Amino acid sequence: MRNLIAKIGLAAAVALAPMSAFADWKPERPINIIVGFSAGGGTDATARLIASSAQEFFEVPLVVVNRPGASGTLAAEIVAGSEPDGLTLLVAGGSESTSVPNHLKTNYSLDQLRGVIRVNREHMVIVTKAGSGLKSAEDIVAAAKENPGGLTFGSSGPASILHSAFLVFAKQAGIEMTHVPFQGGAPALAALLGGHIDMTILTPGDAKAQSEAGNVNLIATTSDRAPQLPDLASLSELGYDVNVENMKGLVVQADTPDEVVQYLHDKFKAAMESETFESLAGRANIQPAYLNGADFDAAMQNMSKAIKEALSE
Amino acid sequence: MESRIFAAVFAVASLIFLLVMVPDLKASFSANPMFQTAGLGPTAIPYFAGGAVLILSILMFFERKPEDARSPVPEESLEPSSDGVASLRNLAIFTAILTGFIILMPVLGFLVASALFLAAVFLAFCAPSPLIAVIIAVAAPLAIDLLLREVFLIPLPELGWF
Amino acid sequence: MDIFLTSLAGQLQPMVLLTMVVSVVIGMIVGAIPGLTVSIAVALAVPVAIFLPTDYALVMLASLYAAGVYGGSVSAILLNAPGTPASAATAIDGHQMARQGLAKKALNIALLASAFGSMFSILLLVTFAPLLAKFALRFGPVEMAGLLLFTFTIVGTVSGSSMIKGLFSAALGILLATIGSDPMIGVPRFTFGNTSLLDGLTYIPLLVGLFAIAEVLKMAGEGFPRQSHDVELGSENKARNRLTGSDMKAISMPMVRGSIIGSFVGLMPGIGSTISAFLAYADIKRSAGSTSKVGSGDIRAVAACESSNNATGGATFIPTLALGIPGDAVTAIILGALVMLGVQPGPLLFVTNPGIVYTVYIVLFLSTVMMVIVGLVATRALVYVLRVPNLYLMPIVALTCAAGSFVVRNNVLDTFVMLGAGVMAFVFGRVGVPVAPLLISFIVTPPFEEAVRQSLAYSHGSFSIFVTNWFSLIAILLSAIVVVLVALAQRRRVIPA
Repeated sequence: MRNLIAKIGLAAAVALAPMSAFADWKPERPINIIVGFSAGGGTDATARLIASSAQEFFEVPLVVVNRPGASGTLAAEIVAGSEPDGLTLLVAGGSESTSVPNHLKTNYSLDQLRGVIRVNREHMVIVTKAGSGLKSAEDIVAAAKENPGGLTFGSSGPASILHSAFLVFAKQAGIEMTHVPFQGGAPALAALLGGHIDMTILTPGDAKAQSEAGNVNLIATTSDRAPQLPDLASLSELGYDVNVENMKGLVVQADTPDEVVQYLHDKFKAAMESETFESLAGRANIQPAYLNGADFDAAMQNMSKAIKEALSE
Repeated sequence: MESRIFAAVFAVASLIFLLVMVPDLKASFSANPMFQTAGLGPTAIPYFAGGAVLILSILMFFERKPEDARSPVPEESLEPSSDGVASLRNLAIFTAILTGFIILMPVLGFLVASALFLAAVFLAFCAPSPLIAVIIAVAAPLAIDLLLREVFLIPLPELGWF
Repeated sequence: MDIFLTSLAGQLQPMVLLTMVVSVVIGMIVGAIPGLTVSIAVALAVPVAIFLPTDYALVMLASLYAAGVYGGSVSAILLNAPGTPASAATAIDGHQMARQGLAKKALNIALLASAFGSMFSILLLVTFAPLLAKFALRFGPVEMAGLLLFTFTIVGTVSGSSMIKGLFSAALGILLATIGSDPMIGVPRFTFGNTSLLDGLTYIPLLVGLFAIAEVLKMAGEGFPRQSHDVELGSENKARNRLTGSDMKAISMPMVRGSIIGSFVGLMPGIGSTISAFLAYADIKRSAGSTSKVGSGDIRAVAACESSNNATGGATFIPTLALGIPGDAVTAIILGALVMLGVQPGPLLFVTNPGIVYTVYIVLFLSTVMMVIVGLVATRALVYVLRVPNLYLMPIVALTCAAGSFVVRNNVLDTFVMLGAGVMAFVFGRVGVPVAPLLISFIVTPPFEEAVRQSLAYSHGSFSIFVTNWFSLIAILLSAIVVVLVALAQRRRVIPA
């Protein structure tokens, strides 16, 4: 009899546990931060940066786990299908969130992920080869109108955010260009410098270095002005309504309770305000751009919508 | 004989590939105008490779053994037919143990699974010295795990890996 | 010159040298373990490196890189299980030498040739980097398509006695290479809805399966004979294993040719050191004539393959430093690390940050020297691996293979790819189908398909683009000539004289 009561009591305790736990939620097991790209890349750098500066605010270990594959969509699929317990976070906000699901069938959608915090953003800069005669966005539009499909743009792969950015630009400018995908941004840049394609997209740091060496013409950014290139206008300033860029932040499975998301958000926000983060981000040339979870979600949704519209003709 | 069975299996497999899988792939994208490409499409290389495998496996089926034309190469003498059954059994046992290890590694973690794997292999192949076998079955997984995970920081599966 | 001396002095401090020794040793071990490759070592070192001062970080990454490629040849020679893909070609003759009791000699030749290849490409890097980088840029998709078409002709050299079986193996490699996302439009091909397959069959597990696991399975079939029956350790006499003057003379030309081939391949994006080693192998086999013993334990083949794959490693730094465009996955990681260390790579790196450039030169050079020293010491000990009974050694090899296949992407699927490739290669061995053609076409097909289809995107579908371009036209003609020559040689061999 006592045994039965004990069992019922235990069952009740188990049933009630989640509720009481969420009221004052605290992680009790290590938190995995999933990165959809290999160690040593840009997304991995962001993950390790935020993880190492946030560790002091958490009592459990923060573990960065690389699950590279399929342009980051493998990791997104894993997190979208994970338990909503707040212990599995994804570094999201780039191609896998805003671009790929609009091009191809994926086993997840952006709605299955929920923003925790945006950490940084990375501008994208359209460049052409120096001496090519394409010196401005107007030159590109004029040349493309004269010979539809004659201009080629290089991307880091089909369905990547670089591909999407050019598609949105082409739609807004009412022009047609030919897509030439490469395996990553580096071979696309090599092809541009060799004169095999007409334009591609670089990070502001690379764009600045290549333009100072006289290798490329800077055309415009695809969102707003980049701090590294304050004199370079954005496409929207030039009259083309384009707002596509690479963002990085943390997201969790969409059904994760508010309390859990709030807890994670507060801790990571404190980490972003720490000195460790500031010094590491400064050294690594990462541009912090805080947004709370809801605003991060909205930013991703807006970008995704624009890309979807550009794709539906 | 082995060679002919091999060739026949690949001939049938390449026919399935060419008649079912590649057409399926074509159907998966050809409806979408976004996916039109100039020149070669996604099915060009698969058709080429599948066709080549088919033709070459048919040729292989009818190929005379090159050894017939030249001096006999010791390929036959290496495996006397009396050992054939024992060899096949050994192979099946080892492959089964290795498969079991691969399935269990993510569940039990690298350390436990690999100790079990070594123990099973040593047991199945009658290690001459039980003492050495036990030592290796315990020490090798520990050493590899320590080296990879602690020194090189390579994240091997641990117990409770999701 | 001042900057050069400051950089040099910076590298000769005890702590920096210690970092270098440790990194070289780790690089060799990681390279030698089948399944773990130098790119994993470098990638995993990055999180550590970004917290170190720039000099230490560069020393660590470059030393890992330099030593890792040589490490791969150790297990290729001793176990016939190439530790890194780049040493698959070395295994052909290197392991034959080991079976003939010449393991130590093979290891030393591999070490010498590795060092020679590295030095050769570092010299190119120091003297002609900007020029060579500009030259490499002229290779667009059309030229790459021609070049890659030519690399398919290596298949003829590694096909063994039956051309039909060699071509069959190559065709299957092409077919397997089409699994994954289409390179132009991204639709999945033959993935059965599995996202893990979108990047195709992962290359490291496939290689480890084809070579190392197949070798383990072969041993298992034989019931793990105590020692590989023909490794005559008893006769391992010092005199036979000593490098003589005539040996050095014999390997000097192959090393130069291998280094040139390797450096050229290193300049081109997307081909890599595995193919460069096989290209050097094919070259040495052709130039050595039909009476040579290339394929059954020739020192020239070991020297050519090893100098070539190491030269490729050094040469990938040329576009990396001169243009700020990484030449392969490893240099991409090193560039990424530079960015995190606050150095913006780019074409002006020579002007804005000459110290970094000189540091890289010196580190690459010193780590090669260090690799020779550590390697010579290690060789003495390494041959004793052959004394470990196979029953104990081979299952451990299988373990590290599985671990290595797993950690490439933290993905269980990859360990199954390894197992499947191992079983397939074992069956291939039983029926006399060579594995090397499959590996080569598996590696070359993706960049080839990409280059061809990129070219067709420019030309709006017209194939004439490949014959109007002089480089691609020459490559097509050369490929055709090689195919005809190989076919004639084959015919002569099959019809008994």
